Amino acid sequence: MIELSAYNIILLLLAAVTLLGAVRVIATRSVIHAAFWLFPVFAGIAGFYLLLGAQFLAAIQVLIYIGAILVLIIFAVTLTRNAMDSDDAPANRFGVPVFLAAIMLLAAVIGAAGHTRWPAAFATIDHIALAPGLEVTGVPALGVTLLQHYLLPFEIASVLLLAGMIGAIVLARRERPSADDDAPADAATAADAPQREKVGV
Amino acid sequence: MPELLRYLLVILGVVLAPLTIAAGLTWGERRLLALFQDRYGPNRVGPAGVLQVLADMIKILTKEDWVPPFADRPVFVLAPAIIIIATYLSFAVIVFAPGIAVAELNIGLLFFLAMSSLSVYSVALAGWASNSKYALLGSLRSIGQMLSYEVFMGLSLMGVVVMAGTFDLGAIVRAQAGLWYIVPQFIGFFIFFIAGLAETRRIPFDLPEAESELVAGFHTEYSGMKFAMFFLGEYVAITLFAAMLTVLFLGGWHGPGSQSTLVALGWFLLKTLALIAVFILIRASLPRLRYDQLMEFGWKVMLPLSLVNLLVTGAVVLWRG
Amino acid sequence: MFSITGLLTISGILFVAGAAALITRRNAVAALMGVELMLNAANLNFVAGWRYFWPERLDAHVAVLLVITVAAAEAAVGLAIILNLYRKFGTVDLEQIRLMRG
Repeated sequence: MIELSAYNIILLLLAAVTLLGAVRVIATRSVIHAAFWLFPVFAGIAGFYLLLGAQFLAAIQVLIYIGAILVLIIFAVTLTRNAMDSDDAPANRFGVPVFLAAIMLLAAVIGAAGHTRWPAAFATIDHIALAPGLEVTGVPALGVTLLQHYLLPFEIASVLLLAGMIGAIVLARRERPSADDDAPADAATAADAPQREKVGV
Repeated sequence: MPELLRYLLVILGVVLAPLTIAAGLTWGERRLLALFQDRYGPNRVGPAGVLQVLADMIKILTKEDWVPPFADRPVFVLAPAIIIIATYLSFAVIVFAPGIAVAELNIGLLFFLAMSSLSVYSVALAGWASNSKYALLGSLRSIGQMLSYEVFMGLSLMGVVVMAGTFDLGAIVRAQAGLWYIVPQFIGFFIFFIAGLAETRRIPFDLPEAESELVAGFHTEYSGMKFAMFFLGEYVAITLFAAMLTVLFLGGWHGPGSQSTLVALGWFLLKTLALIAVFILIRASLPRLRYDQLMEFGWKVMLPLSLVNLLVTGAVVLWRG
Repeated sequence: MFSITGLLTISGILFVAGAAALITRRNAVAALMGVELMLNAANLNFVAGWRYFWPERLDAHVAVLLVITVAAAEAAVGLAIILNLYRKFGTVDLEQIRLMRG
């Protein structure tokens, strides 16, 4: 069914790594190890982007997801390290029903994907290079699309980021007894604010 | 020369050169520090003490390779490898001379940023896996520091991207044929340099391993070759940042004289080594910052400065059409 | 050849795994990881759709960029909330954090 070209083998390996990581993320007891298993998932997705021809997105995926979000998650787990012993049951009492529901949902998704009649011309790819004339994946073209057709979503996303940053600072900031407030915490970010707390934890 | 052989030679050179420079730096840094501080430094083994590198290597390889029983073993072993891998991967996209690069990607600069963001992991994992309070404190400090400084490290380079109109490192160097970007982008150079110091955890920013308060920070529990990996990783990272500064701001391989590949490589090496010397000079002359000073400096000075730099650069480029 | 069904299956598994993690994990950070998995699955679908059906348009790239932006904001705020919970309750166990019932 699947022809074993080098491209396909790499895709299959990526899929294996990604899915193994995903399964370990939900099944691993220790939260910090679950967080480590997110690494192959994010890296595998970046690999998919790369193989599908979206190099810019692959770089962004590594930069934001692996370089920032996952680090923040590991940071938070480290800070709340003693909160839950890894011996505690990781799953709540919905474990079994949710597992069954997940299997059914998965069957539905795969069934839907399999039964859809995709336009035959587009249904398969077997190489990285796009057909000539379609090479618009360059960053400049993306910039034009982003700032001309999608200017409003772009601006909203910027405002969202700003709101997120301020919100994270306000939330993570500890109420101080005001007296020895030598270093105002409002310069801090989400990454920085918990850092200050660490001294007290 | 056949194309494949030439390519293999380039790869071999890119693998060996940073390692050689990093190993040489273990001696060179001590000699230079001694020079700046009016001492001798290591001068016993071999001519001018050069063979100190070899002596250190033998010493460190014969040390016991110990994993603490309370450590998280697989993660503990993985952490020192990550720093070498992450920094080494970045060398793949650096264009040393016309046509001398492992991979001239059109997103080369982004690749560099992505890879340098990975080196946080070695510190984070080392601190976590060591399972000791000094290591944990050091790694928490270091994550905060590196995440914060990464933000404007990326932003400071966007001025260069705007001027060159590309993320391709080769194209960026070619765009500097007339004028090196250190002149129009001096603020970017300055910010990137400081961010480089912080990312490599060099002395004004070496809080993660501040020995007077944290023993040795995140690598407190490491010994033998694993410790040497962190040590070497720092030097490889310094070499990487010096090379990136050369590519982005000092015109890469451009220089007076003939245009042959060898001369171009020579210029590149010269600029890189000069920048490394500046890194060492800074270590010899500056005291360590306090953590809140570090954060305030980053978020209140460097971030706004890099944003203004980007804004002005963009405006000028638009105005000139 | 690698059909789009394969990619959709992979992203489907990722999505379901993320949803299961979100619902069943008791640790708040682990639940957040589930959300990240689901967002990644959606992104993979966007890119797959772009590659197979509309390789000449970049709308999917914009969508992925926006999703990543939202994910970054969500992670920052979510983790700040979790830190706050930890400070208030001394735990990040979602089963034990309750104010509405005794």
